[in-house]
Amino acid sequence: MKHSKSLAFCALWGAVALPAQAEMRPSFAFSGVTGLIDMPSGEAQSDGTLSVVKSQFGPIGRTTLSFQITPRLSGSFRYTSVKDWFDPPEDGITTYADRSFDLRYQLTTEGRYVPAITVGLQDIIGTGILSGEYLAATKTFGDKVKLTAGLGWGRYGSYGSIGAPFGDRPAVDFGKGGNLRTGQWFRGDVAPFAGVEWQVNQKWSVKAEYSSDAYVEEAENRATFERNSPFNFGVEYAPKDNFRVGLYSLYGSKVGFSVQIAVDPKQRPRGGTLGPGPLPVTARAAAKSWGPDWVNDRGSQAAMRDQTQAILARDGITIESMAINASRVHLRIRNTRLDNAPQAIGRTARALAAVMPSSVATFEIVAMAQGVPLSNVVIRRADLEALEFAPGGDIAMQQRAQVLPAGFALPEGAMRSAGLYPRFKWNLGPYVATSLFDPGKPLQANVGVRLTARYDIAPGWVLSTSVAKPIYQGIERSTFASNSKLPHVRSDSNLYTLEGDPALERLTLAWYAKPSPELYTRITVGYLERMFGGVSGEVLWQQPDKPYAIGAEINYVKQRDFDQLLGFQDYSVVTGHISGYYSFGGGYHAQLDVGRYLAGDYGATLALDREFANGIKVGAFATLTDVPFDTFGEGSFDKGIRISLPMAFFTGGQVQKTSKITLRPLLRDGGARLDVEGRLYDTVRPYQQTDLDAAWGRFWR
Amino acid sequence: MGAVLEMNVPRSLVTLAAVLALAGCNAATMKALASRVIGPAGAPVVKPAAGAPQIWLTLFSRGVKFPMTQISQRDGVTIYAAKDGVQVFLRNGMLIGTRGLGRDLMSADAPTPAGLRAGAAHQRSYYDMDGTDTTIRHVFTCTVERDSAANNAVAEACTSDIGTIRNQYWFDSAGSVVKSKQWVSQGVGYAAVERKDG
Repeated sequence: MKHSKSLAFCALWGAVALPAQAEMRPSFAFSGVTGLIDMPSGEAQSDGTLSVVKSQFGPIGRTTLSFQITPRLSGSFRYTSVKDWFDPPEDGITTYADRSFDLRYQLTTEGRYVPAITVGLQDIIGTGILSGEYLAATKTFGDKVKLTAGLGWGRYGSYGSIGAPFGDRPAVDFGKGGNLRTGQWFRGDVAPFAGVEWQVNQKWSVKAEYSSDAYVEEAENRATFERNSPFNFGVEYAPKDNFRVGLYSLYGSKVGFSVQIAVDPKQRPRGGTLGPGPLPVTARAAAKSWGPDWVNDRGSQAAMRDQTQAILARDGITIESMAINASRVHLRIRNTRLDNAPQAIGRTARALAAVMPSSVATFEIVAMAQGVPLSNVVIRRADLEALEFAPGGDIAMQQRAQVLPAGFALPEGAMRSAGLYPRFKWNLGPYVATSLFDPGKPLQANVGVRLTARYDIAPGWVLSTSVAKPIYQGIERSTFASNSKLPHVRSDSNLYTLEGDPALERLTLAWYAKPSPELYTRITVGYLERMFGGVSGEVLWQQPDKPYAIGAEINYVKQRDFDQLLGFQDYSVVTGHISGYYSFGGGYHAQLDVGRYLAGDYGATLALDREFANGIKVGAFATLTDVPFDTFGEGSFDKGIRISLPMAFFTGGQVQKTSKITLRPLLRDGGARLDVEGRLYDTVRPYQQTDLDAAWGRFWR
Repeated sequence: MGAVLEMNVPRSLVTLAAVLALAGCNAATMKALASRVIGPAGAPVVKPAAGAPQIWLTLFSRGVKFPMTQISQRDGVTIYAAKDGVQVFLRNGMLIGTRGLGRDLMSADAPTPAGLRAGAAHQRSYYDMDGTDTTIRHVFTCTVERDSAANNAVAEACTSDIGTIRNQYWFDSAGSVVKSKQWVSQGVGYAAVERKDG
């Protein structure tokens, strides 16, 4: 049996498909959007797909992160570099670097006669150097051939133009960047483009296209390469569904390559979640007998708690307390390993069914985090027995389980588990800190070790720290020192990275409490983050059955020394926000924060996220404050993309670790928020109705 | 010109490494990585009783065959577990659930052995779990063919929007399933179940 699991790794990749119709997966163009070689196509990726495409030909390199936001709408964020752009060099730099953002919308999906048609807007808020619009149509013929034809404007209308139907294209005036240039859209010359993709076999495909991009700036004006021909050719090899490499001939003069990685949240790389199955539901008749007077016998009840704990320990679930009466048990647990909340509740319920006397008909399972109860999930034992093998039993169970508010106070007669407090945990591991988009060196990294430690003094009281020591310093002093006209609350980030050796990244004492069943509070004092220390207070109102929550946070912080030891600089500020959180359903979430930011500016941040029950989240945020765009500097206002990737999705294992990445085209001082650990909403959410419902499929796992 | 963005991505790099390891499909790398991040978690929950009935399970897509031992019987459903905790649920020999195989079959409504032997056309549902922890119902419309050569064998041919499957069952003289080849899910494919004791 031992070898069967390792074999499964490979087998799961080529998921066993039913012999339905053969499928041609949409691949990516050099610009990182779905397409041919250098031209886009009319196709879309599978809903929710997150992709990274790295491409290079001659002097031109692009790295693009894309997300299929809805089945028809997708967005892309791109980093472009063009070598030999500045001649003579400017500030010693010859390479031009730029960020750009695209949106695409699929107007029609492919039908029997109708092609897939997509309208695309490229580089809509950057400097506009890459800007172009297109309409692309793609039709599949048989199961091996796809034809694409399209019309392009801007860049895509610069070669072989057939006229300018909607008037001249106004000149680019991007100012500080960051503004939509709607006035340019579909103006100026329009040119046709076309291409074909032939799927030779399951892994190999061949592409050819006619490009309508003249590369006016790169080839004609700056002579960074020679554009001798509009025809491009390429071969692509896809060893896996989500990994593809390609080699191409571009514009009659250059060889290019691309690497395409796509993650589809609906397809786990290892097929599903691995790990052992659950304890089966125990029949009531087979339930343990605890004698006639167990209701009054604390010894028996303590034994019940300990036996339940012994079962749950195998899934990393810790019992904080248990209160039992003749008909009901109230159990408070901490889930330390399973990445899915309903699965933790389901396993707890089955452990209770194995241990509890038969008269105990109702299980109240209260998940705890930071010493605070999050909700009370009430499960009837009879439902557990009836639905374990029922077809669609997860949905039936979800309808019958109740999610109620949980108060801080323990019910009468509750027995706390011994030895839970105080508790000390620590971890020593490697880290990589990257610096992106520096004009001279777009990708730099430090490598080091990080020590994190956490001491739970009593329920709700947490002392924690994080210390980092770089070993390899790849990040250099930026040749572009901050020229910000605002207090340098973020723009001196480079100095913190250079001088923090070792860096006390965090040293805090936090107190979490729950004054009422729907009200959560947090107070954190100490070195809150690498650039600021002080005191942070937060309150959150969340009813477990509602898709919204309201919170408020106020902080008084002082800027820390660059060396990130104990000292402070002169700058201090009172910053805080009122926050509203709302779930639209279907995994679409919004957050609005209104308040005062670190530089003392007032404004609001809107964040929109697409979230999957497996923990993958992709979102975008933007902040507008009373800082004028000119004062803010390049980029005009703060904005970015945030991504969460849970480890369990990739490994299939029982692990709660999640990588969180926030990607900003520019990090400046306006609209900057304090980065305090352990904010309440993220702590509380997983055990509220909305998130439990989304993830409930794993109750019976 | 650009300012500097910094972000700490220790875990994302590990994730990326995981992605790359997976892309390379190197079992040894993957296993080492998995055990490093998961730790020695996930011990099987139930130890079967000595002398409990056993079956052989074969997973064709992975080329593996392993024994499983009965750990529970309730409401007409028998649960068998492998040494590493993988489980299958059988109701009168019909596969109605798996746990730990990847894209698990979470639940199913299956015909009875008697219904199959009677040869009646029927509908059945498979509920498997997609990557977003959502169970997906697949409704199949099935016809039953008796094997003309072997009197005790029946094939169930089913069609749905995701394609066509073919389950096979062999019965003993008492009408119980002794051997079968049954569809689990896209991702797992077919599983063969055989009584081990015979």
